[in-house]
Amino acid sequence: MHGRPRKRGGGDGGASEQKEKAKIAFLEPLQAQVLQNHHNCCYTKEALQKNARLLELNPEVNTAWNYRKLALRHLIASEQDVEVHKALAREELRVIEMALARNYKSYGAWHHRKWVIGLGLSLLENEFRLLDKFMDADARNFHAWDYRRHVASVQGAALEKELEFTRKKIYDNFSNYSAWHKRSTLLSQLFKENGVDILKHSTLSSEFELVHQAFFTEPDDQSAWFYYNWLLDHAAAAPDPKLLSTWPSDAVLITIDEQSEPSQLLHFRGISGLEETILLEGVPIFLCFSKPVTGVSGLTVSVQSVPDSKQALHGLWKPVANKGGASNIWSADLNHFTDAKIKKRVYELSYNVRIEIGSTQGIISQDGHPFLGPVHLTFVLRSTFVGSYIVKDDIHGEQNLKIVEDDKWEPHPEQALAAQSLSMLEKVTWSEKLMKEEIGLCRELLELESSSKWATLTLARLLEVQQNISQDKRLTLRNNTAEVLQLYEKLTRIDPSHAEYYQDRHSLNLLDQITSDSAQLKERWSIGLHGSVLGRDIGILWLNGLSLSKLGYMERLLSLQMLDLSYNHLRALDGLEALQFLVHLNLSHNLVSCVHTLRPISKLQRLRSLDISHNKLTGNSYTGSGVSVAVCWDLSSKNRMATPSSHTFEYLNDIEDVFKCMNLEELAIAGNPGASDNQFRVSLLESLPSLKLLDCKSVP
Amino acid sequence: MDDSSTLHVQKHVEFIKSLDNKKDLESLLTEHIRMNGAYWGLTALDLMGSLNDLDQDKIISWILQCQHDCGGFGGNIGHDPHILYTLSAVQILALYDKLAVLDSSKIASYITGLQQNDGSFYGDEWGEIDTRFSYGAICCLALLRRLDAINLEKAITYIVSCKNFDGGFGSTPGGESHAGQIFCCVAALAIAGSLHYVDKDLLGWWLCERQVKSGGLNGRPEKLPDVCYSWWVLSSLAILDRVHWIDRESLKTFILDCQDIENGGISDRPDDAVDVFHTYFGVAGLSLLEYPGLKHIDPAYALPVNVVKRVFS
Repeated sequence: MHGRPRKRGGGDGGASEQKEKAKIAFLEPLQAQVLQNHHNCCYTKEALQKNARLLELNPEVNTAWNYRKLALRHLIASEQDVEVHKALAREELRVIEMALARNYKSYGAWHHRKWVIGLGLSLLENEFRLLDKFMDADARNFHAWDYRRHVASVQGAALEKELEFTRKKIYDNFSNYSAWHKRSTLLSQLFKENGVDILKHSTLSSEFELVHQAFFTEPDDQSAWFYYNWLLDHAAAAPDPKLLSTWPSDAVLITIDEQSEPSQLLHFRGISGLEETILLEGVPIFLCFSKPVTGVSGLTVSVQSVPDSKQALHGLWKPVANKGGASNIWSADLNHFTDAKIKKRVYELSYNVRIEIGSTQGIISQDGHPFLGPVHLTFVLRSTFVGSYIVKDDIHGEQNLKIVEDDKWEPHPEQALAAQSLSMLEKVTWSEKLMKEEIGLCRELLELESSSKWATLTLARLLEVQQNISQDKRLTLRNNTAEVLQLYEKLTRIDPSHAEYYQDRHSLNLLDQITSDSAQLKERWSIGLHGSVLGRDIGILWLNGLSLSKLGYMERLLSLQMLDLSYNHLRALDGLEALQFLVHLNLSHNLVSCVHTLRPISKLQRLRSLDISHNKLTGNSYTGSGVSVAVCWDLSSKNRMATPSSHTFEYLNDIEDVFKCMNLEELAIAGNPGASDNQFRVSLLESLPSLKLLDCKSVP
Repeated sequence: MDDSSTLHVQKHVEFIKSLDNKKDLESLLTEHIRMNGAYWGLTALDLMGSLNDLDQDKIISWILQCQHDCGGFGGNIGHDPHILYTLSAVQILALYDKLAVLDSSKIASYITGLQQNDGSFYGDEWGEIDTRFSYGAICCLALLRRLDAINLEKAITYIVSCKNFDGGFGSTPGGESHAGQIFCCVAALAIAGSLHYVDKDLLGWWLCERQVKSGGLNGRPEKLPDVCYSWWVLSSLAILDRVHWIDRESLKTFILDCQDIENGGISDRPDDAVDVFHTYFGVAGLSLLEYPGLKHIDPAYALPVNVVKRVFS
C-alpha cells in the first residue's frame, strides 16, 4: 500500500466497514469464478466479461491477464475474419485502459498491451496518443516511458523525433529526470551511430545550453545536475582505456646486481643510502590501465630486448587482480638471460628493452572500448657483478636479482604515454575551452546562490576534470587542487548527511596532489630508518595522519616497498593491489572493519610485514558498516572452465580467503575487537603458516 | 511504550502473525501474490527471532501446493507459475532449512527454459522481460546450487546492457534507473561474482542522493521517500560498501517513525496504512543498519545471514 492514510483505532462497525464487507462479498466469488474459468479453459463472452470486471477492480492479478491471452489466442484461431480479429484486439486494448485507469503502474496491464500490440492488429499511432495522456497525468511514469520506447522501436521512429519529445518534456518541467535519462540514451545511440567528433562537439554544446537553463532556473533540483555530470564526463574524456603507468617506466636505467645471495628475508632496520633496492626473483613488467582491460598478450604487447634477440618474455601476461578475465594491472616476467654471460665472466652487460603496448589491436576495456595504441617505452637493464667474482650456482633454481632504479619519483608525464593524434589534440583544446566556460558559469551561479550544494559540488568536479585534461597538468593542478579541497570541505559543512562521501572525494584529490608532485613526495619520503634489503636501504613513504578515507592514484607509486598509511580514516583499501613491490605496510589506526576489505592486500605477494593494529576488525564480517556479500561465484575460476560440473559454492571464509595466499612474516592486529577473539587468532595462524611474529611475539 | 524511538518488535511480530488468517479486503486483493507476502512476513519474523511462531508444516505444505508440473510456483494455489513466486518459495524453504523437499532439477529446468538468447529472462511463458527476473533466476538458482543450469555469462551481459548514464540500472536496456531495479541488478551481479561491472563511485553517489531531508530514502530523483527504499537503496549501498555515504541515524529515525506503535506493522511513510511489504523492508533496513536485537540480513540474497551461511555450508 502506498500513500494510503492509516486508520485509527479498531473497527467501528460503521459505514466504511459495511462498504468493505460488500466489496469482499462481490470480489471473493468473482476471483474464484475467474480462476475456475481459467482452469476449465472457458472462453465464453460471459467468462471474458467477468475477467474484465476483475481486472478493472484489481489489475495486478497476473493469472487473469494470462487467461485473456489464452482466450484471445483461442478466439482468433477459431475465426477467419480479420475484422473480427481487429475487434477482439480493440476490446483487449479497452480492458487494458480500464485497468490502467485503476492503476497506471500495473506491470501486468502494460505487458498485456505490448503483447496485444505485438499481434499487429492495431494502429501504433493510437498508442502514442494514449501515452501522451498517461505522460500528462504523470510525466515520471516509467512504465509509460518503457512502453513508449517499445512502440517507438517497433515503429522505427527516428532518433531525432524522440529527442525532440524529450526536449519538450524537459521544457515542461526541468525536474523531469525520466526525460533527462531518456535523452542520455538517445544521445549515446546517436554518438554510437555517427561517431564523428565534430557532430559530437556541436551536439554537446547545445546540450550544455539546455542544462544551463535548467540549473539556473532550478538550482536545487537534482535532475539536471546528474545529466550535467554525465555530459562533463563525455566531453572531457574519451571512454577508451588509457595506459596510466608502467614499471619499469620509460627511459629508466635498471641495474641488476647478479651477485646477491638468494634470500627470502627482508630486514626493516638499516642505515641511510640514496638508491632504491628491490629484492626480486626475476624482472617483472607491470602495465597499469585506467580501467580493467582484457586482451593483454604476446600478440598485443611486443617486448624486445636488444642485443639479445631471443624470446624476451618468460611465460605469459597475467592479470594482477582478475575481474572476470579483465584487470587494470597486468604483469609479465622478462626472460632471464644471464646464465651464459655469467659463465663468460663478462662483468657488465646492458640491454635495451623496448615494449610496444597495443602493437596490434585486441586490448579492450570491459565496457567494450579498444585501447588506442601503440604506446612505446624503452628502458635499459644493466647486469653488473660487484664484489666477489665468484658466481654461485643457484641450486634452488631461483635467481634473485637486486634492481637498482634511479630517480624513481619522477612522475610519468601522461602526455608521453598517450598517443597524441591531431584529432585528440583538437579535442583536448575544445574540452579545455569548454571547461573554462563551464567553470565561469558555475562561479556565476555560486555568486547568486553561495550555499548551493549542487553548484559547489559541480564546480569541484569541473576543476577536477580541468586538471585531468589540461595539457599542462602540473600547473593546473597546483592552481586547482587547493580550491577543490576547500570546496569539499565546504560541502561537508553545508550537506552534512553526505559528509563521508565528500571526505572520500577530498582524500582522492589530496592523493592526486601528493602523488603527482615530486617535491611533496620527497618531503614524505625517508630512507634508512625503517628498512634495508641485503645491506641496501629502502625508503618509506609517509601518508599517515592525512585524514584519508579513500585511496587512489596508487598506480603512480608502483615501485613503492614501504608505505605508512597509519592514523587515517580508511575503511576500504581498493587500489593497494597496484603496489606489487610492497614489503611493509602500516595501516594501524584506521577504520577497517571487515576482513574482506583486506582483499586488495592479498594480491601483494611480496608483502612480509603488515600492521593493521587499532582498526575495527572482528572475526565476523557482518559487523561494521560494510556488509559483505555472502557468496561469490568466481567466473574466472579455472576450475569452472575445466570441469563445468564441479561448481562449488562456499560461504566465503574471509579470513582464509584473504590471508592464505599471502606470505606474511610479521603481523600486528592488537587493538582490534577481533584480536581478543581466540577463534579469529586461530584461523589467522592457520591461514598464515609463514608468520613469525604476531603482535611482536614469536609465533610458536 | 508509546514512543517511536525504538522498534516495537512484539507488536510487529503480532501484526505479521495476524495476517495468516486475515480475511479482509486487503488480503483478498493481494491473494495472487501471497507467496511474496509469505516471504516478506516470514523473513521479517526470522529477523526478529520469531520464525517459529507460525505453523511451519502448514506453510510448507501450502507452498508445495503452489508448485506446477513445469517446476515453477504460483503466487497462490490455482495461480499461474512465475519466476518471482518461484524465488519467494525457494527463499521461504531456505528460511526453514527445508530446501531438500524440493526437486531442484525441476526448478532449474523451469528457470533455464525462461532464459533468452540475449541472456535476459522471461518472467513466465508470456514473455515479459525485466532485470527483476534476472535477479530472480540467479538468486533462486544460487540458493539451489544450480547456477550451472543457465548461461551465466550471457545473463551478466544482459544485466550490464541495462546500465545507465547515472551508473544505475533499468528494467530493460534504455529503462530508467530505479532503486528497486538497481538492487536486482547489483545483487545479481554480486551473486555472480561480477561486481566489477558496476561503477561503484558513480552509482554509490546516485544512491546516497536518494536520502531526503526527513532522513528517508526515495527510489528516483525528485520522488517522495518510502520505507521500501530503506531496503532497495541500502542493500545496494551495502553490497557496494558505501553505506557510510548516507546519514544512518536519520534513516533509522525515519523508519521508526513509520511504525504503527498501536497495532504493529510499518508503513511507507509516517501515518500511512501499514502492510507486510513495508514491515519487512523496514525491519530489513534496520537490520542492515545493525539495529540491536535484529538478526543480520544478507544484502544480496535478502535472507538472514545465518540462513545463507547454512545453505552454503
